[in-house]
Formats: sequence, structure tokens, C-alpha cells
Amino acid sequence: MKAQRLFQQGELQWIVLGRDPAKPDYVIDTNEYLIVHQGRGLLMDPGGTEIFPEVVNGISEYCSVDSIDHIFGSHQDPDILSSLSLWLSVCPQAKIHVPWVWTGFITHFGCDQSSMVPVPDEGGEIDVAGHRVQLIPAHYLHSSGNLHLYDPTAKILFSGDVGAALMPEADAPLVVKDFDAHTAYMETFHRRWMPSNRARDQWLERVRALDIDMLCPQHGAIFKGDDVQRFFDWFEGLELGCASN
Amino acid sequence: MPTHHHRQASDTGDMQASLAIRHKLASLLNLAHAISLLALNAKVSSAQLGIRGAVFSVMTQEIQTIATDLRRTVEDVRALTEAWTRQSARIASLANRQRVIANAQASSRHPTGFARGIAEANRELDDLRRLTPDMVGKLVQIVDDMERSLRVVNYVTVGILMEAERLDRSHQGQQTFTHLATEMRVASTQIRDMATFSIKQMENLEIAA
Repeated sequence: MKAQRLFQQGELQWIVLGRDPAKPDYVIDTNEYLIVHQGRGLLMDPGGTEIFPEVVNGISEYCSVDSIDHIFGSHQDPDILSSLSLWLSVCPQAKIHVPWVWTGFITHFGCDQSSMVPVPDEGGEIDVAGHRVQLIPAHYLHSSGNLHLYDPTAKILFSGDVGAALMPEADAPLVVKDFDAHTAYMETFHRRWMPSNRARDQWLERVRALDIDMLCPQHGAIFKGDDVQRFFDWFEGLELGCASN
Repeated sequence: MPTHHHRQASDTGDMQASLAIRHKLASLLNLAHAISLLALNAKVSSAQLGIRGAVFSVMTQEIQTIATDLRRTVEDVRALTEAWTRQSARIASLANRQRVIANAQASSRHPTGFARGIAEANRELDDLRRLTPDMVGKLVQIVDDMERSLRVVNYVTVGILMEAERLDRSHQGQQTFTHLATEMRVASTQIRDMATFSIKQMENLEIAA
């Protein structure tokens, strides 16, 4: 599995893991993100059971697994959190931050209610050893209870399925190189999985007010610099909620 | 005979031990790079010393070999812990499935229907658990390699210090080699810590088993 440091400033690091060559073809490719601050970790959308060994191995090179204090799940899908019981077996102290509407559903993946931190609809914060990150509402993008995570220091927005792309090559670059060409891999995904133009417009209003250097989706490639704004503009012009083209 | 609960704890313990070793040994790669760079600087200094630098030249070559060995050790540990974690995760998933099926069987009116599922899970679990001693055996070999590197590091460090003493105190080369020896001592401590840590993890595994 490819691991790449996206940001480092003093004791703060952002790491992305993705493009797992050991992953079976029938399993959708996912990106996992890790924040390490002063040796403590926050893991975002840790992924499914199939890829757990590769993710946990990759992460252990950046921080000790038992130092992961927080796991953030943007929503309830199996490619986001079905590995939860395995994660809790190696970091039992971790708190699981998920949209409140999904807590009773996510416990079906095999985790104790006491580990869960239900995040209200308006969002919240997570404190990683004194470093605070914001949980941004992204409901109906695509899930009815959906959150994104923004780090004002790193200026990174973890955007879950927003900005996701179904890449044709298993070893595609982790960062978008040619935005226009990249839209071909995003369009069907967003039209089909994102149900609401209204939710999209509310989200755009919210995130355009943030200072963002990198937009990091859970599938596909990362948008950097001007491509972040390009993505917002492209997304704004898309008709969502279509089951066919 | 270990109880089910003990076995489950042991399976998770395998994974935690594997991950802890991988995390700890990741820093060995930085150490290998640092040693390699120091050795390169020392090589330049030994060339500047002319004939008097011949002994240093041999020793810096030896240090480069140590750095290469350390890099190989990191790669071995990566490969081993990758396989080990994959195996432990599979065991943990299977053990979980086995527990769920056994609970369903206990509360079912038709318990015989579950026997096949439980037997399959048992068979796969036994096959996977049989691999653990091989993994531990490979780790023992890696720790042996580390200890061999450690002996060479200590030997070379003493040699560099003795030779550096022979140089004129004002000579710039003396500072370079004394610094190299100091860094090699740091490396020695780190390698020893890592070997001790790995041995402790293996002992914990044996206790858990």
C-alpha cells in the first residue's frame, strides 16, 4: 500500500494511504488518512475488513497503533468502517466519532456503544493531543448523516465521498495531475451517489469560506492548490441524483 | 488447553506484537541513512589524510556494509510483519465468525446445521495458527542479524576512536572521526534497544500462548 506524507509542520503530520496492490479487484479502492500530532493519532475512514492488514501495517510506520486515540467515520458505509472491530482489537482505547444518526447502525460492525462519540448534525471538534480539527456537516453527500473533517493548520479538508473518483488504473497517482481529464472518473460517481443539489449548494457555501490547500477524498485522487477551486466550480455545475446518464 | 478467551487474546496479541515491532524498527531505516551519510563524510576525510587515512578508509567501508545490512533488516522486518499482521487479522476475523456461529448454534432448535461452518472455521484457524512458530523463527533470525551488526558496530567504533587518538588533536580529521564514533555509539544503543524490544515481544507472545 502506498503511503505518502501530505503535510508536516513540527509535531503535526498528515499521511495518506492508498492504492493497495494486495487488494482483490472486486474491492473498491479507498484512501485512508491519518493525522499524527505529538505521537498521538487520528485515523479517518479506516476502510473495510479486506484491507485492514495493509492499512494497519502502513500506519504502524508512522505511529504506534496503540497511540491512535480517535477514529473518525464520515458515514456508515462498509468501505468506511467494516474493519472497526479489528481496529478496536489493536487500539481498544480509541474513540469512534461518527454522525449521531448512524451510531446504532455502526455498532453492528462489532463495537461497544461506550467507544462511540455521536457527533451532532451541526458538527463538532476532535482534539488530537492539543491539536483541534473541525467536523464539518456534509449531510446527504452522499449519506443522510455525513461529516467531513477540516484541519485549519494543515489547510486540508478530508471530504469523504465528495471529490471521489473511480480510477481506471490500480496504481494511479495519488494527486490529480490533469483536472479536466480527471472529471471523467468523477462524473458518474457524483451524479449517482450524491442525491441532492440543495445539499451540495449548502456544502459549497460552507467549505468555500474555509482556507483549503488540499481536498482529500476517500476514493480517487487528492486535489491541490487551484484544483480545489476548480473542483468546487465543477461540482456546482453538476446535476446530482441521476440514476442514468 | 487454552480457553477460547485466552486464544482470542493471544491472536490479538500476535497482531499487536507484530505492529509494535514494525513501528519500532521503522526508525532503523533513518539510522541506516544517517550512518551511511556519516561514513561518506568520513571517507572524504580519510582520503584527505593520505596514507595515514588507510585504516579509516577500511573502517568507513565496514560502516557502509553495516548500513546496508540494517536496510536489509528493515526490509526483512517489513515483509515479515506484513505477513504476520495479515495472518493475525485473518485469525481474528475467523475467531469472531466462529464465536458468532457458536452462539447461533447454542440458541438454535437445529444445532446440527451449524456444525459444518464451525468445522471449516476451526480447520482454517488451526492452519493459520500453525504458521505462527515459523513467523517467530524468522524474527529470531532477524534479531540474530541485528546482534551481529551490533558486535561489528562496537568493534568498528573502538577502532575509530583508537585511530583518531593517534591523529594530531588540531587535525580536522580527528573531529570528523570522533564525531563518527559518537554517532556509532548512538547507533549501537538504538540497535541494542530494538533487539531487546523484539525479544521482549517474542517472550510476551510465548507467555500469552
